[in-house]
Amino acid sequence: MTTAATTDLFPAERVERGESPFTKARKRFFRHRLAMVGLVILTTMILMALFAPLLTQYSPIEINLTNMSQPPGNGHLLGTDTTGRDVWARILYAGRVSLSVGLVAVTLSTLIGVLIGGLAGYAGGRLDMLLMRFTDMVMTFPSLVIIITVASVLGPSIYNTMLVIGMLTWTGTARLVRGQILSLREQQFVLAARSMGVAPRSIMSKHLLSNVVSSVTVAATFGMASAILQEASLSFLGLGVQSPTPSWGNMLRDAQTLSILEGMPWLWLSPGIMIALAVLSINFIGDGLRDAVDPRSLK
Amino acid sequence: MSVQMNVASKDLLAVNDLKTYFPIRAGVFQRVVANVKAVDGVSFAVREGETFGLVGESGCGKTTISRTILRLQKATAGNVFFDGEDVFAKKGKDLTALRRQMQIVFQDPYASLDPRMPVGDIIAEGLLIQGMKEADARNKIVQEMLDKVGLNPYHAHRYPHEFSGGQRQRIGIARALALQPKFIICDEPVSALDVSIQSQILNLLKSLQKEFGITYLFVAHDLSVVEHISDRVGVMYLGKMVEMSSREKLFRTPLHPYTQALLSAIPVADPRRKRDRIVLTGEIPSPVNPPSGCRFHPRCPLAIDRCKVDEPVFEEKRGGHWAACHLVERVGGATPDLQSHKAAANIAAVPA
Repeated sequence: MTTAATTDLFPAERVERGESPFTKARKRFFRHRLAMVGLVILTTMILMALFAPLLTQYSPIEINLTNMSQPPGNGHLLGTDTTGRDVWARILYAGRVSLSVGLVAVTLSTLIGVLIGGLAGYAGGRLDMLLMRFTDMVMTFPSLVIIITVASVLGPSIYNTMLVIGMLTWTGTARLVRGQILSLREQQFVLAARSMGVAPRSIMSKHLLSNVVSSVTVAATFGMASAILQEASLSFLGLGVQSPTPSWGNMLRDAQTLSILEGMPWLWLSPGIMIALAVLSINFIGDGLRDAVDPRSLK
Repeated sequence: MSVQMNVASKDLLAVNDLKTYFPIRAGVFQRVVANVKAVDGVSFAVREGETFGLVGESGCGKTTISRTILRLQKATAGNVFFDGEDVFAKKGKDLTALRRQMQIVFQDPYASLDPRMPVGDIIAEGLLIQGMKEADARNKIVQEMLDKVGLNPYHAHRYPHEFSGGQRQRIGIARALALQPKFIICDEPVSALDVSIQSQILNLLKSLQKEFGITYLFVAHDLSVVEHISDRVGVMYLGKMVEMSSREKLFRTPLHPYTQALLSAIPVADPRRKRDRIVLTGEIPSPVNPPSGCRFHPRCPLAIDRCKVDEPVFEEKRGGHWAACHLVERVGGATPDLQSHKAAANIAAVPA
């Protein structure tokens, strides 16, 4: 390079942008096989739930007493239940319920967790102690007892199910965020920002939260899998989503009798497989995300 | 020329009896049970345009001093004047304006840059805070600063993880430089770098000083680095300043036994040259409960009874040469000679 080259500081091939940590993580994620399998399965399930009316001509709640307990086939892909409702239709519409309960509950719990954890981690001192003791307290709540109480006071419904799961599962996220913020705020790049006069609020959003996004995303993914499971068990106990609205959990509940267990496997096998597939694929995605954002793989 | 400079130069930074304690809290009510006296009554002044080197072992309070000056750490007592203005009294806009004048370069080039920001944004962050709203103007300065520190302007779009340690430290310097400060604190800026890179960074700092007339407070534990870059040097031990003078005087005729011991530990790149090392025994005591009298007395090979009870005053022993030691007479007195005291005072001397 000669001195004349100073006018030509931007040769075309040099202006390419650097790879942000986010871009690198995304590339690693899309190379993760198991995560891709999970992503394909989950996307299929979401599409199935979204386009349910196009995939079946039956209503999930309409009773047809002339066509009860039919095995799969004969116009009903997965047969019918004891009141003649089409199981395939119910599985599709239940997907809407179960997946959205999982999504809303985990969004709620992540918001609460990030808020409380972030506040505790950044403020420190007394507020930190107060918030973390509160978190410990929530962790000690026997969730089933609370849920039964809420269900009996507010009445069991899909919204209360979302609310209760969200309100009881944020503690892990709060601890995670607090711990990370505590260590991040002593980092020299945060001190540098402070020495330049960056306001605490922008330090929080620009330097601290942006650095916990990846681990919170991973936690939220695993959280969604467990929220779906929780919804299933609540509905199974009759405390969650109520009939006739189908959810995978209350479909299992409806299939509890011995005669169904022995004689009509399509009634419990199909929702069971859906729950297992959903949870498994989300966990695969979570694994992939975790590997992708692992700082040790960030060179 | 240097004489002229000295006559003309005034104190840019004055630190008076600065104390920074870290409370140790315990129990349910978080009662303060003790204090870590990281900085315990330090006074010094940095003249405009000079480089003031601050040396001492790890844990002696060097870094705490620099962070307290920048108000990254709350001072317990004392005050700091920058350009005649009380640093600790500033608030709001005045404080932001002051922050523009004082910047810092950190020790760890890996931890001091936000991994999620492109280099250009990192350098421009301070400009944005200081009210430079136009992106074009900011970009221009970013390009200029990258050029000044020996990086390429197209590096602005890259992320910190794409650079080596030395390059990252250059980015850190560019960030400090972007605000055109009068004063930069270099907090061990080269101790995390390879020796070959160290000299490049030191020379860069020197040439920037020449170009922009920046004043440095250079914190380090490496004496040869401090000797290379400083005009004046202060030596700290356990939260106190023990000796301060011009570089030449300090390295040629150290007054304080601690400084003498430190200097004797500098390796000499000549296997034929014999030298006696003064090896200090014991560890640096805890700053929670510092020794009575002179803080150095438990490790001092020359300590007398008075040192255990009476804390020496930090005073000007010779013209411009300050020290805190009972054994150093003011003006004209003999320098305590460690080498000749060796036999009498039980010192381990290790021939190199």
